[in-house]
Amino acid sequence: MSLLGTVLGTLSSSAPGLSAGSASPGPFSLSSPALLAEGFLEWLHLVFFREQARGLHGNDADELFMNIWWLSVFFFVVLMVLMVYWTIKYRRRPGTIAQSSSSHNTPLEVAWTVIPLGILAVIFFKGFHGYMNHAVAPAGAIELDLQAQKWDWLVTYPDGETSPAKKRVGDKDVPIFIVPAGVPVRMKMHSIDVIHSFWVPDFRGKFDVMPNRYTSYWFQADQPNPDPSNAPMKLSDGTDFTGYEDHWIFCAEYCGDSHSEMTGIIRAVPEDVYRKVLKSWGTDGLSPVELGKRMHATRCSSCHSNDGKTGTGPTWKNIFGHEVEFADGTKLTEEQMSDEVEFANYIRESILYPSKRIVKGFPNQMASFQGLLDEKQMTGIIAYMKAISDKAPKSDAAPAAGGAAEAKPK
Amino acid sequence: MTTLDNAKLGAIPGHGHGHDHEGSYLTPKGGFWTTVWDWCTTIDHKKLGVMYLASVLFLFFLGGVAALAVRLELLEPVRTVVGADGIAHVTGQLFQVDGWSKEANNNIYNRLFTLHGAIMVFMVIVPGIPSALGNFFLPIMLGAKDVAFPRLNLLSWWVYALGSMFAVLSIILGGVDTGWTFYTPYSTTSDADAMKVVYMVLAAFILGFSSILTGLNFVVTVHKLRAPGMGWFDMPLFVWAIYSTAVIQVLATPVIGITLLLLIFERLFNVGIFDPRMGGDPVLFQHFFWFYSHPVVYVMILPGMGIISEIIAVHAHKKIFGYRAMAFASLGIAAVSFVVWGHHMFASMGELASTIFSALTFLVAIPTAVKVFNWIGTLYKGSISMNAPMLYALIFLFLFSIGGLTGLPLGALSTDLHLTDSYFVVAHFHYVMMGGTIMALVGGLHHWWPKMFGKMYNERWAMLGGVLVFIGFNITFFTQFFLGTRGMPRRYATYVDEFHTLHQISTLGSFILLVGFLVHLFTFIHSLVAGRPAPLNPWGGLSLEWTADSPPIEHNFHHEPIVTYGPYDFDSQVPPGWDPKDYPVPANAKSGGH
Repeated sequence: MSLLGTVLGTLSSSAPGLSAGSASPGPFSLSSPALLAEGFLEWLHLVFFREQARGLHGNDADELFMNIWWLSVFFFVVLMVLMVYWTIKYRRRPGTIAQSSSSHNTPLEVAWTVIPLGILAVIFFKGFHGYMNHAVAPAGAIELDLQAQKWDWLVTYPDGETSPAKKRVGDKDVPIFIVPAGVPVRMKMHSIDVIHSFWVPDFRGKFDVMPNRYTSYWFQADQPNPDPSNAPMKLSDGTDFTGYEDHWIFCAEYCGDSHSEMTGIIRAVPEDVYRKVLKSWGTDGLSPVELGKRMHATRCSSCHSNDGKTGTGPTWKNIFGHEVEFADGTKLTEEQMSDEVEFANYIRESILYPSKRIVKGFPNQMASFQGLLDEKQMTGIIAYMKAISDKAPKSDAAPAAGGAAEAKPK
Repeated sequence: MTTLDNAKLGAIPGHGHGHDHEGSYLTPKGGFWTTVWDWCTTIDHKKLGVMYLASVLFLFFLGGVAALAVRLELLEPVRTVVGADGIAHVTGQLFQVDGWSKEANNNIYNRLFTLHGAIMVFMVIVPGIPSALGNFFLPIMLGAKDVAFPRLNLLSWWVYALGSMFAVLSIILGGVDTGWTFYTPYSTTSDADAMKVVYMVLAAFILGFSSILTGLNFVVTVHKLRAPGMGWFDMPLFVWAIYSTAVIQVLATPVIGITLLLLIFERLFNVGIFDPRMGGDPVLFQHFFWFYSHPVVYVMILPGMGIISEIIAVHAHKKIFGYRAMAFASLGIAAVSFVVWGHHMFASMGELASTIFSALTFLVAIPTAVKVFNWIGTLYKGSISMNAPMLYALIFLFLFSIGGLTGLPLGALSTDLHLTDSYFVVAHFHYVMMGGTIMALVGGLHHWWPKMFGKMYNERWAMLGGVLVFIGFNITFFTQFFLGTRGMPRRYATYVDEFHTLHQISTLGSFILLVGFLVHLFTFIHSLVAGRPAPLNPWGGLSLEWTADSPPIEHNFHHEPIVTYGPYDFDSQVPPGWDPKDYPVPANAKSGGH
């Protein structure tokens, strides 16, 4: 155990991770016994949780956890000490038999039934109390829409803005969602395919995201710690929202192939920065190609690449003007795919009724986006696909390449 | 007689129907093929018990290999590294097929953990103790010749074999990636080839029938076939535990049967009960599923608790403390287990339902705690033999206590919202299922091995195996509590870097665990080949199986036993100055030709 403790201690004090900037107190303070004890408790808390909870009520849950932990340690140690002590003391000696002792003791048995019952009642109530705080959002919380799909999260802000911001972690561009710090935020959550679960470990809570109804989860992020390791992100008016810590979003309900890559980042920022960033994320001024690129980044990139790589679904690069063959043996010829109307209708069908024609070699995996995209967005996607094809009409390709690449705040 | 009165040792000679020169049940009936046919069609509960044991151990091996593969994959987080040549490649992914995307490679991992879970739950832990040791010892401990319906018992085995074959078929076809819980709508929409999922679900469905038939058989056996003189409260606690288990199996298994059938209908005929695209409710499946699968958690653990009661009483040579409380605790756990299923869904249910289920969940803790207190109380003033079965009983108490106590933050609502579906849950249920049930199964196997096969095993090797398993287990799974509280979700093939060290420690532990089990395997094989013959009563137990031959004859007893004292009456039955070698061989068995 002590070896394990040492290893974990090293971990907790040197955890690199995303939130390395958070202030974690040194493991021990030697100045007084009281401080030493406090330091030890704090150290153990960090062994379990790596860092303090970063959302409102998160530390209440941690406190309950640690109280249950110490209670468990107490009972466990008492039981194990008795077990080992009696096993040694009453070990069999040749020629002796078990000493006569009563085989039941009503007061003792009642006591060890009733006392745990009392303790459990307290734990239940504490858990219930904290849970209600977690479940009931305060009035006036900011309402955000969270959509889950295999294998991406998408937050839509009150005026329809979506986040184009990404952070490269491993080989994945993890979407970054910003929320205002110190303000209650309520997610209205729904899934377009299977059940997912929205978990932000730093806030100590999760809730399932269902395909057949809305669920909700609310949190209030603490004021952010600075995190200089995050790449700067300049906004048009000169503000940047670099330098704040990130909180992982994990999908906690198994949802298939890339379940483990269904991650996201929540970045809490001061409220005024939040407003400015949202303004720069609006889609009103975007050209169709830019909008299409935005749609790709926020809704489609977990399965479809835009650079020719094969993912769960076919890449978008060089579809326009190229022959495509389907699983049932039929095909759309190069000529048909070069016809703007025919191409647009094919893409439209693939978005709204994805299982109608499956491209040869790919699984029938995609969920229908019927009702989830509006006409403008669909037109944008089609325009963007055309723009990233080598067969794109010259008039489309030239401005698109420039416009799509540089307009991003990255 | 200086020590025990023979007549008191359980088996009073009956009225001369004894077959004094019968061979043991293991004696071959003829040539090789005759013997194979005899085993395949046997209605002898002991042979069926041994066949269950062999199948369960084989499937445990298969599930264990899948678990080790899972641990190996988790040794490294998966990263994409861009090499000096500018080409990006994936590192750390063990089950990597060239030319496949990372998603497709993750799919191999998803199939492995599904395989591990489905095999371990449906084919090892649920049937393990009741079907193998229960089949073998329940009738003998009751003083009966066989179970109430021996032919039904044979049918149960073949149904079990058929179910397992469907599971293997599904694996050969490529396996399923749904997780052992088959949650909808994922399970009804994943995999273009629906038949693999259907085969796996069908396997679980068929295995359920085996459980129901076995449970029914045991309930009737306990009610009708107790030896003369054996009242309900003269039954060994293992029998009580198997009885409670059988009741749950008979009542709860039909629900999962119907649920799985609905799932198959949904998959094949698009019925639309669970799939939201057709107006169904996916959470309904979870309710149905856990309405069975939570009571089944107690189907898994109660028989293990029964074994521990036997081991502790016999090896401490002392009456179990609070016998009646133990019996009622078994029944109490069985009853409450039916109303706590919702605690698997705190993160998907409404507030009122969650609150009620949380309160009910804490109620299960009480009878469970009482059992642990009673076991430890039994050690007080005992005369404790420290051997392999006893070591496993102590390991069980250690691990199961951790498993039980770590259930508290999962039952409490506010902490559960963080911990559910994380590695904390994984660690918790491994402490209960593996630290509880599997440790009890291994302990029970050591306890009854001499009786089952008539051979002793090497005590030192068995103890060494036990110690290695204990160390390996804790390194593997205690680490996972920290992974869970730190935010590592379940069923992830890849993970973020901060979990790396803990995963490495956990994988290291799993290989120590493997070495421990290999030592046991070696010890048992060595015992079968070269073990010295076992006496009738190597540990000095007082329940009826210790009056039967080692190994027992085909009809168990030479004469119908008559019970004149309880299974744990060491106080009244064992005189002062006792030594194990003084245990007399009961007169009726002495003439049995051993």
